[in-house]
Amino acid sequence: MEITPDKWQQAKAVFDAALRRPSGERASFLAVACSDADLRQQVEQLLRNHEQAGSFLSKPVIEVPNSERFAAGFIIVGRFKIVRLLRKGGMGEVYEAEDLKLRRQVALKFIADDLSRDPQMLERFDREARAASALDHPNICTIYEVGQHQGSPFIAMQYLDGKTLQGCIEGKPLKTINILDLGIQISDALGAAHSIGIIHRDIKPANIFVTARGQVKVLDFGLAKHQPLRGRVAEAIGGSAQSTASLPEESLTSPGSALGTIAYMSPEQVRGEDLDARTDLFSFGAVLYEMATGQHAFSGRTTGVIFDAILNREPTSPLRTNPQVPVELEQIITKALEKDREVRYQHAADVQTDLKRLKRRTESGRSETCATAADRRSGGRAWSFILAAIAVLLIVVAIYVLMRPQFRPKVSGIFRITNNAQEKIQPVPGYIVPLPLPMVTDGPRLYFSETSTISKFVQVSVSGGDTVPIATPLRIPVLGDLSLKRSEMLLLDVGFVIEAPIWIVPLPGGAAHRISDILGHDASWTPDGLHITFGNGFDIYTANPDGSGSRKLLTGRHRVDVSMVARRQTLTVHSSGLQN
Amino acid sequence: MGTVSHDVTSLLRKLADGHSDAAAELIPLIYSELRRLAAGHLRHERPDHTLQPTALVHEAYLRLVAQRNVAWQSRAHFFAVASTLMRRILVDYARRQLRAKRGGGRSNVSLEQAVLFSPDRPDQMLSLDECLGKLEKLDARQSRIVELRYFGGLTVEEAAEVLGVSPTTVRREWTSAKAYLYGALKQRHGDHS
Repeated sequence: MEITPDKWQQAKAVFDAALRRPSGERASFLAVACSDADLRQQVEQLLRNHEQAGSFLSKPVIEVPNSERFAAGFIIVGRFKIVRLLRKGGMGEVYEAEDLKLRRQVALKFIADDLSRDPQMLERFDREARAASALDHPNICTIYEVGQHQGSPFIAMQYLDGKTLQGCIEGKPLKTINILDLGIQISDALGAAHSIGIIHRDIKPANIFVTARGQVKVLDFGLAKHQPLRGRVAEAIGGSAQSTASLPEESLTSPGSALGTIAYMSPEQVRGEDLDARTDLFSFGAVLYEMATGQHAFSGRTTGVIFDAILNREPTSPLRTNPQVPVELEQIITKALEKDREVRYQHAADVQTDLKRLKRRTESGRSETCATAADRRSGGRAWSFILAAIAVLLIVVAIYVLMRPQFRPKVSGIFRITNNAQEKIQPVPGYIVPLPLPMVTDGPRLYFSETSTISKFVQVSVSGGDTVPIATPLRIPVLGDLSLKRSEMLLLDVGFVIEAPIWIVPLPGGAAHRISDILGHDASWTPDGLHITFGNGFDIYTANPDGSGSRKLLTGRHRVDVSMVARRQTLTVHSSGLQN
Repeated sequence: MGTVSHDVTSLLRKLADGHSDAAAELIPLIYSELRRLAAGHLRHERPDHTLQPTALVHEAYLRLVAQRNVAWQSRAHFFAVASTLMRRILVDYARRQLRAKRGGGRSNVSLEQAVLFSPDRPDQMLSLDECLGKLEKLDARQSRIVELRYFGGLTVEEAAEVLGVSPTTVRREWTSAKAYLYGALKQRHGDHS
């Protein structure tokens, strides 16, 4: 496979594009995309290699270069053979290992050195791990064995394939149905543990594992550190930097992770009071909050600020952050986050019942989002469902019609337009799946966003060259649409909110102006170029270019539908007369 | 060891702060440590026992990163530097091993073994190095990504940090680089048999 650098770039580009298509469609894609037989042969060979390569190079020469305690192959207590370090945190290290006796994969957890030197801590670790090993529940990670290796206690537990809830959330809200599914499983685990007197004390997304099949496994039952905080909190709330010295040891070595942990503490935990099962329900509320909004319920840059928030402040309403949160879910979260444990949920089963009820209603399509609640108040509930159903149907048809290839374009050649090592992507908050790079052209120029450390809106000649930034006052400009006359561009300033201000920018350059106070997550011009349409929450609106005369066109079912309609399918929906 | 560690730490900090000239000072430090370890291993090897590069590299890394509290970026930069050196050391070692064997065991590479590439096979290590050299001529960044990921053990995110590109780019380039190398290795094997 001798190949020139230019040919390689071509082959690579077509290979990447082919990989993004279902394998059944690749052959026909290559027939269109490859200008010559050589290129096609090379790409086909690459695809074959890719299929065959399997685990080729997937295991680096050196793995886990972190300062772990045990190297691969090391055998613990003559029974567990270390395979690799899985994760390392304030509590200790977790390894994948093979149980040589029972021939099964296990996870071995060692508590951190400094903790294992404290005899009281050791005794407690041992006692609680044994208690937790009595827990047999599908949503609790099973503990197989508790032991010691040269004075370091360890726990052998079920090896799980998947990721933590923290990894699932990553700053973005989950879908309501997933929140309910996971929430019901978590509350089931809590209920089972509480019923035999085991309190978790450290419920947080990093301790909740979601397997590849979507099953929840709560980790580390009974393993939470509990250091008396009494008498120290006052200092912490005073906000002095030194006060962290008296806080749990984690905050000394890694302030970031400590803040992550204390953010889920209950008020009674912060005050250093005796704890009961209800502390877990508060922490669970904070987890639900994060699933619903992608953000911490209680956040701050110092321990003192976070503690103050937990003790004295109500978190921002989840609905304000994520309009798709059903009202009932917000109520559940609020009740779990009651600062006074007497008015909070009293039992895990109570939260679970509420979550289950909401799930049933969501599944039968009766859950209230903000939008449908508003509709019902105006008396049009049944109608709104019918209209929504029609809208969804139309959207599906419209998407099909517009996405269907009208003709098969023939790639006559590929050449490089830009070569400045800047990523041609743009961050789009609120989307779980990143959208492909929107790019528009007015003929002689291409317009798109470039991102290095900050996102810029740029233009470049279609014949190639340097990109030229178009100055805008927007923090993170995201491309909306080009006007009919190709003289104005709609841009959204997504910043860090879900619904963004919409701006009009004259082309090829000029002063940008914001369209009054409307907000949306996507925007486009109507085909006649006289109005703009924009998606906000589940709704699609239309308005004059100056922002006046804004009115709702219809309600979609997902934000993405709305976005697609607002972006591309305006024509079908707009002209079909389906105007609410 | 203590002072070396200290130097490494401060150099890494400089590197992470954007002083790219720190790499020039860092390379000899890391290289000498890696070589010292490799030599120690070789002296103590029984003749019938082949050195496992995996184990060697592992140990070298552990010693050099013994100090705690290395910021994540510094860690990534450390491995970025070390990945190139690691490749050099492994290839040198493989070459010497082959010379010692003088032809023995080279012809019996089955296709399956070529597919299940093993870093502990000197002939395969050399082939990989050569193919990586070819890839470097086609796309230097891709070959660098392979170095970082395979010889340095960097995660996609760490490699992205070091190269100043997005993880998506690293993932994409890594995929086609692997497909290229796999094909190139397979072809080399075909030439031999």
